[in-house]
Amino acid sequence: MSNQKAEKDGKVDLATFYVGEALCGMDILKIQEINKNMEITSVPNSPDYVVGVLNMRGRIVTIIDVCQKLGLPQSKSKDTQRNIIVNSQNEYIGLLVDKVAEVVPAEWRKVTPPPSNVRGVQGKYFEGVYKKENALIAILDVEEVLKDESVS
Amino acid sequence: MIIDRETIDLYIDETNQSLADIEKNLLILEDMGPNIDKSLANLIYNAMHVIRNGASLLSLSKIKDLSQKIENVLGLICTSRLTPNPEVVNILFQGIDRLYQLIEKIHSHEDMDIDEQLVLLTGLTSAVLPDDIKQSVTAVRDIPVPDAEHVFHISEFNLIQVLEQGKNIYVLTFDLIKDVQEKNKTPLNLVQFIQQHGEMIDSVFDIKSIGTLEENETSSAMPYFVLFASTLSYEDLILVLDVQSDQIKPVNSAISDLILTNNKTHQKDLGPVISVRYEDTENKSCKNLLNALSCELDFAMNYFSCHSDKVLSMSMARMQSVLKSLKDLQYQKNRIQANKLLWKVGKNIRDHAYQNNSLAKLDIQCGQIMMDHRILSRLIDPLTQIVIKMIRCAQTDIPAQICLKMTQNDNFIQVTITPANPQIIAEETYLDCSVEENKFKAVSAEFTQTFDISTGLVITIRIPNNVIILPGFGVAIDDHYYVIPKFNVTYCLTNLPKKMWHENNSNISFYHNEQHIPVVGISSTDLSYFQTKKSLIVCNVGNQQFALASDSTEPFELDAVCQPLSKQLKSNPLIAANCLLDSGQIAFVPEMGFLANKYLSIC
Repeated sequence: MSNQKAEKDGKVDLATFYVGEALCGMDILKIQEINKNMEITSVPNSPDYVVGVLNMRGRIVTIIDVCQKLGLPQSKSKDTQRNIIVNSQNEYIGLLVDKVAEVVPAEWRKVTPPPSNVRGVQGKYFEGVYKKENALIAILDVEEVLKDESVS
Repeated sequence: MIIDRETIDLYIDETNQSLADIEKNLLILEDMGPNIDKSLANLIYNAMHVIRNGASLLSLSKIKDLSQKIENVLGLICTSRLTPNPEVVNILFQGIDRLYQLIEKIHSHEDMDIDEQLVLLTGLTSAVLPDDIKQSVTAVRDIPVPDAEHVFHISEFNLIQVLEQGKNIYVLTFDLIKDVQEKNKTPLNLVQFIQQHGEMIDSVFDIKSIGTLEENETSSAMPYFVLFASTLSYEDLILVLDVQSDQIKPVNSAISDLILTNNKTHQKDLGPVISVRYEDTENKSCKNLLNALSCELDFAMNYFSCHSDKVLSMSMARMQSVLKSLKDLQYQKNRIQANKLLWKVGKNIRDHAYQNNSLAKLDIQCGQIMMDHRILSRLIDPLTQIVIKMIRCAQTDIPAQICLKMTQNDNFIQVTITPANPQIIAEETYLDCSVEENKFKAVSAEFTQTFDISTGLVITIRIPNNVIILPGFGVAIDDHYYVIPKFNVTYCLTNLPKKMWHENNSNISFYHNEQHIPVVGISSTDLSYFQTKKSLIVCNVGNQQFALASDSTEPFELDAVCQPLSKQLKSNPLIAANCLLDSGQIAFVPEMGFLANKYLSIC
């Protein structure tokens, strides 16, 4: 966990969703909205994980396929897919996930550092893991997921 | 009316077409400001003149009177005494609108009222004239037709206008039977022919000489008198009009005082000129800045060899400062007072009210707010539609009055549209504005509508002050829309015969104008791909020319409002920016340098 993560304390509401088979979550406060607008315009010459751009009430929002970005197999069901719109560095970005699940109240102190590999995904993409009664929620590090590796 | 139905129908068709052209050209003239294109102004003037003469020929008195007044104003514009600013053009449009209505109801046009338009146009004309000529606008001069009972009643101002142009005034006499019917011409043909050699001030039939059914014998002649102004001499006119000397009579005695005054006036100044001829200071400033930039580049080049980071960074800072000034200059150049375009919304509303036989008033308040004219022109249509929708929603027996108010702060300009009386719109009524909303969003504006008991329905549009506008051409390529920057586009080729395509070592080119233009595709470089395309957009980047294959037969021109690329797209070398079209679809601005390099790599 980064220093920033270490500083986190107290309670957090995790919005959970599925990326492939993996149950992931993120602080609900980071989410601007969740929509199922699939009128996405593909962007030529873009990496595979860039699904395209979306006209969200006049604002052009880039949509990232989280499955592709994390290197997970593509979901078969398009009906349940949703765009989770987050504000990252003053920019709205959409994360295309396979299914939105429930909101889980959690405590940061119970969040454990991520292993080097979470269900076949590199640990660097996660802030940590939260153990629910019968499932593990991998907390997505949004900034890491949105980092454009082609720049580096 | 003594003219046949066919001639009247022809006049209606030609007049409607001319009025449409006049409207279009007036808008162009308006955009020119004080430095108008004289030839365009004359074109408009002449078109209105033809309408008036036709009306005179057909004895359509109200159309003749109204077009005469419009012509007077246009004459002042032609001589630079009046600047075609929005207020002037608006009054002209009101007159033209009424002309349309008179033409539409040509058989009952005498019952229609034109007083309001005449007052406005006369007021406009007299307002810009010096005191000693002012009264000529309303004063009427009688000019008798020699050897006939008829008298022309002409506004003194019209006579002064033609005298000021150095023209002589004559009365021409034609016989519509001998000069028209026997020569298989129409009266309109004759009018068009006469107008080739001068200006018809007025014309009239001598109806009394035709005779009546009660009389045993009707006349074999149908005299037609024309009060005519021309720079040609008496002798020259006889030749060019192919008439007898007794058919032309110079007019002198009836207007001798006006001729004398005009001669004196010509010896001094022509009176106060309303429009201010200003030097093109913007161009000068721009030239100075480009010179400054050139000097800074020289400075940077000279000191480049010394490898001093300090000198280079200083040089860069200086160049950036000059570039910023250039950018500011460009920004200022595109800004105009909002009312210079917003009045069109008012005109559209008037048109709509007329077409629907309803009454509505739009009160536009925008003070001295300045705005980029490219954004403003894209707002006219959606603002008009919203006002119309609001009028339709209004539940009132009296004319619905709508207020359109513009305010501004450091970050945005806000337009609010509300009914003057909030009660005329039923509670919790919202307008369906999805189409208009898309158009506002395409210029990065925010659109909201709220309903409040005290204020009623309020529509708010917020337009950010600093948007990046790219003039370009919209084209479709491979299921995507692209906006090609206008400054890169040379021309567009739409006829692409297969034999003109050439393939040489996988390099594709198109043969046009005796040269092979290398062709670049967005997603493929195959000849078969190119041959499916409908057009080639020939572009220049630096000194490289190439053609971009497109699926659009007709690229559409637009001022795209660019939105910054997200960080995920910044590394995409093909895309420089993205923007929204009025339809809500997303278009990409291609990186033209990348496409030029793509062509270079092919070569």
